[in-house]
Order: sequence, then C-alpha cells, then structure tokens
Amino acid sequence: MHGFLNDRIRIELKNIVGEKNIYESGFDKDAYSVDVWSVSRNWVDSGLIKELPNFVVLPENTEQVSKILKLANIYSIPITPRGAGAGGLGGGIPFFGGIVLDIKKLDKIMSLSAKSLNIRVQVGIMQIDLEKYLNSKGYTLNHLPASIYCSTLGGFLSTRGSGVLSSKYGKIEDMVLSLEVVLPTGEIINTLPVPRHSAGPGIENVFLGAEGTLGIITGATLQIYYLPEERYFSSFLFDNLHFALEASREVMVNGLEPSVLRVYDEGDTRDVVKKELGINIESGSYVVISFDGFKDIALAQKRRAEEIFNGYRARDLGAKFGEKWWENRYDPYYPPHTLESKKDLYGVIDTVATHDNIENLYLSMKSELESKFSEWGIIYTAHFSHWYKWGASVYPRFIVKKPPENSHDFMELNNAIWDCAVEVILKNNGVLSEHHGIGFQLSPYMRAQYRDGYKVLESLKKGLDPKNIMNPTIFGFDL
Amino acid sequence: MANYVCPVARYTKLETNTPRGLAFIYSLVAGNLKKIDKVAVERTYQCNLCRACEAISRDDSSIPELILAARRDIVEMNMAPESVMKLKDDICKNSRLLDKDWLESAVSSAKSLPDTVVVINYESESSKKIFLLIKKLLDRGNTGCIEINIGKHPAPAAMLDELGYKQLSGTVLNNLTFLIQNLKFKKMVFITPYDLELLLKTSTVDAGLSKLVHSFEFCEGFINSEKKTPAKKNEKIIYIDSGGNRKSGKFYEIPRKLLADSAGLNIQEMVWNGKESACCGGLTLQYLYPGIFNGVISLIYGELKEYGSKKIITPCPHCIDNLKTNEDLRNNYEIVDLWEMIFQ
Repeated sequence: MHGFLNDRIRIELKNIVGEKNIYESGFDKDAYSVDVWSVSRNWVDSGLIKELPNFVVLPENTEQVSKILKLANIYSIPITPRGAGAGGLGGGIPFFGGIVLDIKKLDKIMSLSAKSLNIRVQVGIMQIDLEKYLNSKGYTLNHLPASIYCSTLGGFLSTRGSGVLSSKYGKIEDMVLSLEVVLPTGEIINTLPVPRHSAGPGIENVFLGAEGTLGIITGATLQIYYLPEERYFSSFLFDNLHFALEASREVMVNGLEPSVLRVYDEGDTRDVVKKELGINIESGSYVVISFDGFKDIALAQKRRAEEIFNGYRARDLGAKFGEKWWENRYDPYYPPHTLESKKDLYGVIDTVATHDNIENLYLSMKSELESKFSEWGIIYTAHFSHWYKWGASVYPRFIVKKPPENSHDFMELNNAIWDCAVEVILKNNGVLSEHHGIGFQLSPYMRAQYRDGYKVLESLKKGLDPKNIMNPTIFGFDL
Repeated sequence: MANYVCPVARYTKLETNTPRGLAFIYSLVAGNLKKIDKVAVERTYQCNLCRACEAISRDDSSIPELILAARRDIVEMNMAPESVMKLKDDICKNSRLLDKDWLESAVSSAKSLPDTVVVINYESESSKKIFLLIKKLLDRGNTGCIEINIGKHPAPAAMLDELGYKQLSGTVLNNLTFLIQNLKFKKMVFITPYDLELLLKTSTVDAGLSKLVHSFEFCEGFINSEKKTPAKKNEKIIYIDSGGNRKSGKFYEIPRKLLADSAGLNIQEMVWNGKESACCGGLTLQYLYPGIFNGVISLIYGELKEYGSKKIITPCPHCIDNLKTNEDLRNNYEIVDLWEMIFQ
C-alpha cells in the first residue's frame, strides 16, 4: 500500500480513531513486526524484515473496531489483530502489511455479577489487571497462565489458552459464557447469553481459538470463582516418568479434581526443578499436585491422591516444594528464561492426546528429535501440566544453543525440527497445540491435522471473511 | 516482559512505550540496523524512569539504565527535544545548588551546627509543611533545625541526570558535597530521596555521608524514640507508595508500620503497590509530556475509585502536588502527607 492509497487510508483511519491512536513511524511499526517467536526476532536482528505493517491502530471501543474492519473490506487491507505480543508462534506478525489492530485500549470492566458469579469485560485488558481486580473483591478467574503478566484476555481467548489450574477449572473457553465479536465485514454480534443449551451448536466456539481469522473478539462474559478457602500442595518423586504418568492418570480417571498437576520428565526434573527449586535430584520424575477449595473437601481429595501415588512407590517430598513452585509459578516466563533476547533457536511444542497415546507420543518425539538433530546438540525436555479425565497435554521444549548464523538456515533448521515433531504428533493421534495456538509456525500443518474436517474451517472462513483480510497467514487458508 | 508495571505503557498501550519495546529500539540501533530518529527520541523521553521494571526484574538487567545512556547519547548528538532543553535551562536557572554565591553564603551563614538537623528542601507547599513539622518536633527536644531550600526543583541533580545532562548533574552533586563538607551538622534530612540516592551512588566523598537520611528513616527513628502508644483510630485510609527507592524496598514497610503502630490507622492497600506501584514520574515527565503525565494520574484515580475511603496518604511530596493536578482527585479526596498524618 503506497502513495495515494496509503494517504487515503490514513485519513479514513484518522476519522475513525483520531490521530492519537494511529502510529506509522518506523520504530513503532518495527516493534509490531515481532513477537516471542524466535524466528521473527532472528530475522529482525539480521535486518531481513522491518516495518511490516502500514499502520498500527489502537481503537478505543467496539464501534471503532467495526468501522476499521468495514474500511479494510472496502480496500482489501490485511488486518492483524494483536494483544500484548506474547505469542510464541508468530500469530501476531503482520506478514502482509496492512493494519495491526492493537486491542489493548479495549480494557474496561463493564460489570460484575456477585449473584451469578460472572464478569463482563473488554478483552484488551491485561490478564493480570483482571485477576488483581477480581482478587481485590474476593474472586478469581482461576485462569493463571505463566504469561499472565504479559498477555491480554483477548490473546488467551483467541488461542484457547490454559492456566496452571486448568486441570480443575478448565481452559479459558470453559470460562466463557458469551462473547461480543466484530465480524470481518464489520457487523457486531453477541453470542447467546449462556453456553450450555440445545439451541444450535453455540457459535462462540467459532471464534474461540480462531486467532482473529474469523472476527475480532472485543468483549466477553466469564465465569468467576470465590478465592479458595485453602490450597494444599504436595510434591513427589517417582522412580520414573512412566509411574508418574500412570499415577496421575489414575488421579484423573477416578474423578479427583487436582487444580495443579504437573509431571516433569527426567530431563526437566534434573535441570529445571533443580535450578528453580534448588532440589538436588539426579533421576526420577518430579510431580507437583494441589487441591483447593473448601478445606475438608480439598483435604479428603489430597489424601486419596496420596494413596494412589503411594501405590506407585512415590517419595513424598512434602508440601514446601509444591508451595515454592506456586510462589515462583510465573518466573519461568521472564527473561532470561524466555530467551527472547538470546540468539538461541527454541520452541514449545505443546500437544494434547488421550491417555492411550500421550506417553508414546512424548517418547517418540524425544527419540526422533534427539537422534535427527543430534549434530545440533538439541536439548529436549518436557512436562505434563494440563490434565483431563480423557488425557493430558505434554509441554516439550527444544533448544538449539548454537543455531546457524544465517537467518535462512536458521529458519530451515527450525522448520525441519517442527516437521519432525508434527509428524510424530499426528502419527500418535495427538493435536498440534493445547494452548499456544497455531500462529504462523504451525499453519502449514492445519490441513494435515484436520484432514477432511478442514473443509469446515475453510467454509467458515469463506463465509465470514470473503476477502480474506483477517490474519491471512494463519491456518493456511488458500482463498 | 515487565511491560505490565510500566505506568506509561499502561496508559498509552503502545509497544514502543514498554520496557520491552524500548529495549527493542536500542537493540536495532546497537545492531546498526537503524539510526535514532525523532520518534525514538520521543519514546526515550516518554519513559518516566519510575524504575518499576527494574525493581521487579528477575535478573540484573536494567532498562532504565539503557534509557539513561540513550538520553546521554541523544544530548550529545544535539537531538534532545526542545522541551528537554527548556527544562534543563529552567533547572539551571532556578536551582541554588548551581549558584556559587548562594552556596558560599549558605555555608558562611551557618558555620557551626553540631546540634542541628539540616533539612534539604525545595519550593513546594507540601514540602514546606513537612519541614515545619520536623522543626516543631525538634524544637521540643532543643535540637536546632534549619532549612536549606535548594530552589524550585526537588532534585536538580537527579533531574539533570534523567534528562541526559550527566556533566551538569555532576556539578550539582559536587556542590552538594561542598555543602556537606562545610556545614558541621548533626544530620541532613532529604525531603525527597532522589539527589540523596544519586549522591550515595556516585560520591567518593566519605565525610558526612553517614549522616544523610531520607525523611522516612528520620521519621521512624523519631517515632521509635517517643515510644507512645498509638491512639486506636481505626480510620480507613488509602496508602499510595512512592515510586522512589523501589530497588531498596526498605521504604515500603517503614511507612506502613508508622501508620499502623503510631497512628492506629487501618490501611487500604492499592491493588498496584510496593514495587509495582504506579508512579506519575514526579521529576520530569510532567514538564516533558503533560498529556502522558495526566494520563498516568488518571490511572491512579481509576484505581482509587474502587475503594471506599476518600482519604489518601502518601510519603511522596510529588504525589501530593501531582495528584492534586487532577480535578476529580482534588475535589473528592483528602490527600495527606505521611508526616502530617503521623504527627497529627
């Protein structure tokens, strides 16, 4: 978009959001050309990409979002919705230029119902602001991801995010009662007021996890909870990962409701747990488990879980290590841990599968990545941190400390690692992402993931976004 | 990822106003991928240097130090915005610590002060009030108390340093050192902490430094020596932390202890407090970017509205002056200095 058209769009955007909410200087646009995806940072550091968007726009209300999308439709301008830029898969990068629509000024708390326990908010609110607000009134959302300090609610809704308490309280989509959405063509819609009904399929699910490809979520009504009366923590050391996974599966299938259940593989146990918690463990698998709510109920559940763990000869490390993990639960996301300022090639391949498949999936991925990329000294560790009655998610991380210096080779190695990992995931009936979304990195695999079901996604895209202006790189749509 | 504590970014929402965004700008410049331009200069001076990002950092990295270095470079390249130069000139014109004649007369008119507390003060209604309270108390104990009023600005050395004028800031500190060395005082109390901090950080002069205290510490020492049982008022007040002294953390507990133990008050904590408290950038932001400054004040006001109490207590004289610039706050709240509350 150049010359006359660029000027024309600027004038029209100015009429919608005012001059103070439009940015088009080089440095401002550069900062919106990266996120936490290591490849994007590598390319910027090498001078290969810069100033991707034409405009960065910060609307102040839903009507302005609507007008921007209507304008974008007229001129077929790509729109990249963006929260706080904490995504690790390149989902917020405006590869085709156009407008970055930063939602962070949509941050108002509209209402709180103490009777129905729900809150209505605009989704540009930072998650930590929302949680602190709720805590000050005796409530919690129980959505506490490691990135709580640097992500917006909209980011979590658009990627179906999970928090550390998801094993009891569910993922963010489980907390949604209804959504306000601006469709790609600019219409503002509201989904039904409650999510459990038999009046059709429930269209909120079309937009949850859609990463802005099918519209922009601007408001949400969410279930909230009372702060728990008590939180009990325990930590255990199992002889091996298999025992830890089996014991945890038993906890879940027997209907116990741990809020936290984290199983660390042997590499994570050795490296991360020792570093983070100062525990000297040479082998085995470390598990942190927590129960919360009313004291007596939580305590009874905790005891039953301990009985299950004892059946697997787990060593009880007591409460304090679990409590320490809780106190430091957000630390792993902070620099230097995020690596965003380092030159390493890294990625998180969070994956979810049934109990039948999850252990094999993990073992196969580890063996494949470590053997195929041994010359690069790939480091692969994992933990299993979001549990369901039917399965669990595995959170593997890979790091290559000395990646190729050339950015093209860097990208090629990155893609080869992901290709290998995704092949293992699909072979083992896993799903690509449990809570980080798809972004740019995983989009090429969406057809293989969905198989014939991809047609449904494609039809939704064609129907809702006929000009393919919304985050056009995401999900691999070919319109 | 310390973006959430940055009061400027919480107001503007712009990525390049965040600590991460600024670090990103400097990495492009350091990597010779871009040259500093007008926008980079603007973003660099829009930071209010509250140091919250540094205080919560999990490692030793300091974005504020990067920003200060960038500002020095900008000054050296003659790229400082007009508002920065204007403020620098104003500080130079209205700070007595840069006036040699004043310095010499201050020293000669108070040569021997062994039993005297010297209060380093500046021209503001709230700081004057604090000085009078200190004086009133000390007069009861037959300890002398004199005020050295350094002029219009509360901390000229820190302000010049913030603006990127390192050399001028050093001159102010040297002159402050000259005062310390030539006045034979018992204690020197700083109403605001900024120049004191800079002095302690940079000075190589030992003589007298141990006698320098921040007003909170002085206040605490005095109250402890009184050993009075507090009147149980149970009045609910909202306490706002000062953005100053974030890294040391020691000035968070002292005022709370004083308010609860000595004044018997029931403290309503802000959601964002302690090291995470929003700071309006009392030193320079109000002159350079009044729009952002007012926006940060409105953020604080937005949070205050959530609480029942209409009485605010703060240890920061800048907060008192600055919060009152907001009409709603001025009209609807009683904003009281910590000292005043305790002495009441």
